[in-house]
Order: sequence, then structure tokens, then C-alpha cells
Amino acid sequence: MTRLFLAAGVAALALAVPAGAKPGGNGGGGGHGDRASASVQVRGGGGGHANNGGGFQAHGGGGFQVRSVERHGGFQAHGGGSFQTRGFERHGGFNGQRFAAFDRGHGRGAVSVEEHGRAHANAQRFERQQVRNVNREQFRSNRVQNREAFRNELRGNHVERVQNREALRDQFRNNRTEQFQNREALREQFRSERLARNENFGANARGYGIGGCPPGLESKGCMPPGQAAKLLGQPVSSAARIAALSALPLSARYLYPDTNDYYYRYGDGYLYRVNRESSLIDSLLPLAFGGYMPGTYFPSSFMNSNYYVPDYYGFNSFYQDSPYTCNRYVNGVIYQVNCMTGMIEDVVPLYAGGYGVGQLLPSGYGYYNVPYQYRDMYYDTSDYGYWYAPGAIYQYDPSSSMITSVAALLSPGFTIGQPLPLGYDAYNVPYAYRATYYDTPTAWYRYNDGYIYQVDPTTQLVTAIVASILRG
Amino acid sequence: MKTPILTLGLAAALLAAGGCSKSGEHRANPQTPEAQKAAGDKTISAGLAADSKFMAAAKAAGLDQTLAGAGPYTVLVPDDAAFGKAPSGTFDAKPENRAQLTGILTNLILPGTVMAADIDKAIEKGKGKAVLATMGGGTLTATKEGGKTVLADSKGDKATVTQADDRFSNGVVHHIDAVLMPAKGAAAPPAKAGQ
Repeated sequence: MTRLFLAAGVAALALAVPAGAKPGGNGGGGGHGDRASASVQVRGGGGGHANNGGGFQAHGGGGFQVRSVERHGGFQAHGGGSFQTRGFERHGGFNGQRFAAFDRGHGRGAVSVEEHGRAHANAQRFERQQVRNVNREQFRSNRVQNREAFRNELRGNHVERVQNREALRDQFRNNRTEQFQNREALREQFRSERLARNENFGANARGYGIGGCPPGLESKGCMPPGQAAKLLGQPVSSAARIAALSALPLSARYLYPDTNDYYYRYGDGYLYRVNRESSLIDSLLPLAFGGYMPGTYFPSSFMNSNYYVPDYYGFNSFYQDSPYTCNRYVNGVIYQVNCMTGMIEDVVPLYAGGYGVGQLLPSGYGYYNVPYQYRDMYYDTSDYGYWYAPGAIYQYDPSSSMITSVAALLSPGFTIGQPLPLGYDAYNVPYAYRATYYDTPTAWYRYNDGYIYQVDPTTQLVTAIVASILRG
Repeated sequence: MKTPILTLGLAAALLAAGGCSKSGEHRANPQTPEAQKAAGDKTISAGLAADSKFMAAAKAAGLDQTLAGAGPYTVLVPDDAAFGKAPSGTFDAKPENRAQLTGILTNLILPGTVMAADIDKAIEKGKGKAVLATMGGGTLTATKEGGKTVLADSKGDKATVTQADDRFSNGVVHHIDAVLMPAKGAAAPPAKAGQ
């Protein structure tokens, strides 16, 4: 009977030990016979461990943890007694089940020495297991706590970050508002400086300022008509604050002579007549003629073909339409109108229709353009400039752009091959050339704009230029 | 109130004084030397009586300098009596009237030197009529009536040449007994001056 039990116990142990060692991965060969039974649980695998019989410390070479080490000094037969295996079962692991099966197997009868020893080892293992469990629980709770704390911390950080972000945004907004205000202030400053500049600029205003300001030209020393009109009846001193007034250029003064009753002042494209007694501006004269001013709308009734620029004097080729500019001629004045908006961009009074002295040059034509044959005679000096428009060469004062005199009247030019224009029936060659160029049955001679032309009497065609009287 | 006026007056005086040395002489002879040389000794501007109504009107229109220029021009000068016959205000020297004045005067100036004999020849060739172009962009029609040369404007108003062929360095002057007006709306319509 005893032998039978013993055999059964050994068999059971043999079954149990290799199974116990197996999950560890290297149970170290497990228990052999009666020598030792080391229950080693190694979590994680791969690493070897020393098993030196007398106890060991297993160190995971690969960084695993050894949860517990059991050491037995060898098998000692301990006094009988049965023991409970509940603890093992609780683990639910392979050991518990194995041992449970084993316990169940021997719980019914007496237990052999070996069994007893094993039970003792199991009890110790149970205690350690419990300790381990406690440790685990603690670790878990610690971990959870830590994690929670970390999370809380994170949350806290997050809240803090959001708050910071909001603060930054607010700060940014404030900065932006401040910057915006600064910018506005700078703009205001710029505007007022420009305004001040304009006021000083009037005296030297060139080009525009012929009585009105197209958009964008106010900054060039031009005063809109409405503003100038407000000065009527005002003391001349108040006009001086708005428009830099000056006496007329000496060369143009004879055109606007001062009298005992009043005198003239000039500025920003207007002539102001000042009553000497009251010092009030009693008359305002735009230095441009024509009924409409630049910067105002041109009546659409004048846009039709009845008001195209006339072809005499070659006006229509000199003032050609462009896709953007429509030239219209009304009452001796060419209006350059923006085709799209109907806004008058420039007013060009023609000499034949009243362009003349005392007016300002149109801004777009302030360049030297005197016809070639007249250039030796009319060239710009420091005192005078010369400018051509169909019908005349104008002399102007360079400082004010005011036309001071008509240097030469010109007629529509001849071109070779064209029919002799109407109005040249009479011989008109200057005295000095009459001995050379006199009419014959085969050739006529006519003077025009500095040249003597030859004309075929039969065909009435201009055939050649035979002399330039201006260039000798 | 007084101070600004005084300042302004002072500024004006300074300007005037400063300008004198520069443009005083130029006002008398505003042309470039070349232009003066070409015009010769006695120009139309200098030759006509300075106190005549024509010269007053020419001065108001800035054309006195033109007639002192190289030219050559043929100028039809209405006598003073003719100016009196024109509608009142036609020849006012006011700046506002300058456009109209300029239009009228340029219609009395012809390009080149046209002598009375040249007009007569042209009338002959033209079978009793000659058309003369003016600097104002219009035309005058010349005919012979009772041995005298008669000029008519576009409206048909007539003027007779009373004294022909006053020769000057830069052209010729014919005196006429009436003012000829430019065609309205074409050559020299009066442009309105804003006030």
C-alpha cells in the first residue's frame, strides 16, 4: 500500500515539476528525484538564470523581472498534517490547478513525507504569492494613482495652457488694436503733412490746377472748384491759408493789371481779384476757359458725333481719341473725357476758340513740342518756355505755367501731295523771297508756317517745299 | 487783419522787385534773339499806333507779342471808328472776354505776306472772288466793288480796304473800315469764362 502511494506521489510530482518549470521557460531541469525542488517563476523569458542549488538570484539578462525566488535547502520530511490549497487555487494559474488536482488526489488519505514537504513548500509559495499580490495591488494602485495624478497634472497643464493661450490672444488683440491706432495716427499725421505741403506747394503749382482737379491730382497743388468758390467774399487772408497766393508773374501782369480799386492774386489755378478797400475777394477767375471743369461730369448730350473734334488745323489728329479718352469739342474747347465714367479729365481750350494768354498750360502738354522749323527761333530759356498746340506756339512762364504770350500763330500745315487748302488763292510769299519764288503758269508758290511750298497750278496739288524761311 | 495784408503786400513787393531785374527787359523784348532778328527793325506790333483800339485789343489778347514775332503775317486792321460800331462789350479788355477777343483778332490775321495786288490777282483768277484763310481757322472772301477791295466774313458782313500795303519787317497791314467776325461755333466761338 505504502509503495503504491509512494509511486503515485512520485509520478504526480514528476508530472507536476516539469509542468511547473515549463512556463518559466527554463525551469533549470526541474526537480530530479529527491534532490531539490525549486519553484522558480520567471516572468518574461529569454534570460537565463543561475541555479546553484543552494539558492539563487535570478537576474533577467533581458530586463525581465524575477518575481520571487524560492529556495529550499533540500527536501526535509516534515511532519504530516494536511494543508489547504485555497491559496493556490486563487491564482488560477497553472500551478494552482496542478496542485489542486494533486491535493484533491491526496487529501483523502495519509500523505507521504515527500508530499508533506511539498505541501510545506506550497504553503510558503502561497505566502510569497500573497505578498506578491499585495505588491502587485500596491503597484497597480500606485500606477493608477500615478496615472491619475499625471492625467490630472496634464489636465491642469492643459487648462493652464488654454488660459495662457487666451491671455496671449488677448495680448495680441490688444497689441493689434494698439498697432492699428498707431497706424491711424501715422496716417493722420501723413495726411496733415501732405495737406500742409499742398498749401505750400500752390505757389509753385505747375501743370494742372487749371481750375479743377481730376481725381488724384489734388495732391499736385490743385484745388477743386467747389473749394475755390467758397473763397468768394472771404478776406484775402483766409484764401492765403488755403491756397498759397502770389502776385502774378511779371510777364503776365499786364494781362491782369492792378487798378486803384483792386489787385490780383494768383494761386492753385485761380486768379483772385481783391478789393483794395475791403480786402475781400470779390472775383474768382479760373485760369481755364470753358464751361466745364476737370473732375466734373461731362453732359452726355455732348458725347454724340456732332461734338467730335473738328478736322481743321488738324485738331482731330492732334487730339486723337483713345479707347479710354473721348475728346469732344464744345464752344472752342476740347474736353478730354473718360469714355467709361464720363468724367472730364482735362480741358484744352483751342487757340482759335479762345486759348490764350493768362491761361495755364494743360498739364498733359507741358513738354517741348514746337514744330521743327521753329525750334531755332523758339527754344526754352530760363525765363520762357515754348509750347505748341494747333494754331499757335505759346510762350509761357516756367514758374507758373501761365501762358504769357502767343509767340507765333500757325496755320494748318501743308503736306506734299495734298491739294492746296481752301484760302490760298492769293500769293503770300514774304518780300525777301518774292524775287526768287514768283508765280508762273507752271508753278505757284505759297507760304505756310515757315516754309515756301511749290504748287502745281493745274492739279492744285502741293508738289514740294522749296524754302525754309526760318532756317535760312 | 492788418498784419497779414501788410505781409502779403510786402511779399508782393519783394516778388515784384526780384522779378524786375529778370523780366523787366524781357517784357519789352520777350522774344528770343533769333526771333527778334528774323522780325527785323520795325515789326507790325511796333508800327501800329500804340494807342489804337486794335493794338489795345491785341495787347489784351496777348497778340501784341505775336505781331512782334517773326511771322510773316498779313493783318487786317479795322480803324478806331469801326471798333465803335461793333456791339458793346465785344472788345472789352476784361480777362473773361479774352477768349472772344482772341477769336476775333486771329480771324483778321492771314498767314504769310499778302499784298493788295496779290488779292486782286487772285480775284481775277477766281473769276471775281478769292478765298483767304485766316489764322483763326476760318476764311474771308475777297471781291472787287467799285475798284476797291472788299472782304466779307462768313456771315456776309463786309469791310472795305481803305489803306493797303503798310509794310513791316514781319508782314503787311491793310486797314479796313469794319470789324469782320469769325463764324460762330466753328473757328472762334466765344468761350465762357467761369466767374
